[in-house]
Amino acid sequence: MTNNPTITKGVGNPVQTLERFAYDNVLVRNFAIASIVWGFAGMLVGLIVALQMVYPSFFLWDGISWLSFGRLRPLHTNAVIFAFVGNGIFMGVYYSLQRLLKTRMYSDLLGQIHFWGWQTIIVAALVSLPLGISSGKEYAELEWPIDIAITLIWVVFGLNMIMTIVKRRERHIYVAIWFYIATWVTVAVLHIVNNLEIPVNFLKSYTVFAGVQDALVQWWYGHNAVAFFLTTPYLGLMYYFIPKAVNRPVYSYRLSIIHFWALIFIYIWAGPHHLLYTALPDWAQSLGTVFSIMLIAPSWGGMLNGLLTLRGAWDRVRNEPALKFLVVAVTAYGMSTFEGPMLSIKSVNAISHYTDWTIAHVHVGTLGWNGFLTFGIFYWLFPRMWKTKLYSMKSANTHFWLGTLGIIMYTIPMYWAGLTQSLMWKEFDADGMLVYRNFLDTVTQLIPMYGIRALGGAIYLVGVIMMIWNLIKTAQSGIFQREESAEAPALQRAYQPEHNEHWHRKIERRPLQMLFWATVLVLIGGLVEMVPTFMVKENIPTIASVQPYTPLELEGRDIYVREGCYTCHSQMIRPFRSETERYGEYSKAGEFVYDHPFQWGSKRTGPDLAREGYGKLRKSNSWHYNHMIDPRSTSSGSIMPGYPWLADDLLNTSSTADKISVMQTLGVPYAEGYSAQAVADLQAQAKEIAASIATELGEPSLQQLEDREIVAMIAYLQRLGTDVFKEAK
Amino acid sequence: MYKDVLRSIADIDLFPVFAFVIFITFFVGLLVYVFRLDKKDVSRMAAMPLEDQVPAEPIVPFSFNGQVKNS
Repeated sequence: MTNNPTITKGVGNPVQTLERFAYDNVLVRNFAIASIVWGFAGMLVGLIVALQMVYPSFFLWDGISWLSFGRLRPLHTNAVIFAFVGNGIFMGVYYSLQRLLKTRMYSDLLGQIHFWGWQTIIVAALVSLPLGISSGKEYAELEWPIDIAITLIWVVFGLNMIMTIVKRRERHIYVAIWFYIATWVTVAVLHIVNNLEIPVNFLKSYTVFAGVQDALVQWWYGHNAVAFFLTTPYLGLMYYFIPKAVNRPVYSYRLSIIHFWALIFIYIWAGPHHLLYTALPDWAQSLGTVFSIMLIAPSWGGMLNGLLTLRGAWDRVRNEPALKFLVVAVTAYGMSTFEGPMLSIKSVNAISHYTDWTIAHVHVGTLGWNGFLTFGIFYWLFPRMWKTKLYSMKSANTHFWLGTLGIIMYTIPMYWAGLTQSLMWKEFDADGMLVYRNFLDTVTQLIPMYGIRALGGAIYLVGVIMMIWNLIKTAQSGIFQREESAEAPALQRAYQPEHNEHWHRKIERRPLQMLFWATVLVLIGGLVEMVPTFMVKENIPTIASVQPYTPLELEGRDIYVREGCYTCHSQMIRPFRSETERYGEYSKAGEFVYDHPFQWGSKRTGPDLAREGYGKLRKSNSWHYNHMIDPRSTSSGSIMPGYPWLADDLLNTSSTADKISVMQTLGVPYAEGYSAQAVADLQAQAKEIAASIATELGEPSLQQLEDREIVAMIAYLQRLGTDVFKEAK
Repeated sequence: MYKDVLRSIADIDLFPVFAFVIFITFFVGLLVYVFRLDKKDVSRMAAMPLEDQVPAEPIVPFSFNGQVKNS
């Protein structure tokens, strides 16, 4: 049999040999601690960026490149998604997988590699994102060496999980594990496809996709990062920890099977709802909307299944803080999965998109669903792993109410701000003119709401600090159980399936088949959406006058990406009169064919920049210079951070030639051998821009700007949106 | 009133076609399967998170139909 010590028990016949083994708690504890530490850090960064929107020129961050909003916002999103929730997923998976399969994890070593590898990746993100090392795609900002590390560690995790399933002592694979398998396979596919990039050097790469295609791939990824990183693994945890915490079986196992297949089948198609009214082909937008609306059914089925598991045990919610968190988490899941489909209806999206409404929606999900579910599991798990009682029920209850209050104070002002701003953008007077022609008027209006939001976030964070204290005290009052011994009969190798067994049952028993079919379902959705956009030429009509960027503009674009400008500025004018009045001609798919990566953005804290270089939006070079150094010198009341370092730092042209070569590889039509001439052209254009700034401001000394980063940025901004109005060459 | 709202949604005529084809083919099959599941199996599977303790004696090897199997 096995090397495990075995005991034979049995009363008469049948006789069953029990194997003794031990569940590993060390890895679970480590991931729990990592989730707490990074969760606190990620939320703190969130609070800082929230305060930056109220006090943009506060001395702690004003003029400091690595603390500017555009660099910290990716740090916040990556930290809370991949560090807080990510470690939370691994904690829950390593705890529940062992117990549901009645076996220790396949390999302690793989578990250790997974743990330390993941934390190393997080540290690499913590350093690289504030330094502006970014590939410029939301929630996928990490550069290519880190992307490869993520892939390797993800494989280690998957291998450990699959091998644990293979060596299990329980025939049936519980539904929570299906969710884990779907998570693993889908995140692997999404991560690899969205991060296909060609390196320029160790810290810089260009995505292989351009413009509309890049947008479609990015939001296929971005949406499904929400689906398969923030949702499916946590649904698996819900299906394990809620029955655990109430000591009741799941309400309907049948419903959970439907929930699983329906959710993974439908979710993968919904990505294009992030691109409604953009230059994405209409059929793809409609497809995204249809599937998003269909998502209500499985989402609510799952939510009700979670809540109804508490049937007959609601009285326990009063006394058990963990349950309070779990119940509100599932309720928040229900609210955000109702809101999501509503937001993906085009006419609602026309109002909500690019505003703080999206931010509110996201935070109901993250603070409510992910945050509260994680906290609930902590409160349930810590006393059990340390074999003691929760140190302070009172503190946990206070945390619950602070957290709830924090969510309310965070989201209500954001809904309010989103609607307010959207209505202001769209308001016309009796003469058909925009009432708020100055975009800034629609921003300054929101600052009190931003203030209340920061307060809500701070309250939520205070609750987290109380939890950390409570959990430390709990751990100190008990003894950590490194291992938990258990016994179970081995799985009989010669399993005789029932005569009339259903095919689905066979899949449920075979994890690799389950993995395969889940992959197939997920790929169908992705392929149906993406292949036509890549293969059918009419989907992206080319525009003859659209030309590649000059070397200086390309360098400027890379600075735009580095500074995270896309976190506050869109480059996508939707075909609404309120937008064409404000920004000019709406954006066409053919305008973005050389954009690696696309920079359409998803939020307008500042105005759209798609036509920044054209028509009534075009400003002088000196205006841009002054505005970048101190935005409030040209735009009173602006909440944009200043970028004084752009005028100090020398423009690095050492990679310019390589960048041109990589772009050529990607199909951008620079002339043969142009890379050799690129730097000379760059310097000539930079000289011109610096000269115009010096002349306009009457300060000859400003000619020295010609070798600074700021001229590249200005060159890029002045080029934006101009090509379609030129004569075709 | 609600009809006007619906009409204002772009391409709404396509929605039912997409939804119909996909739902029918996929979910009918799934529903048929799920409701044909044996009740005893289902309740055992539903309770799986609760049984990570050592099972009580006598140890009975599980099978899906809940019957005792001879090993």
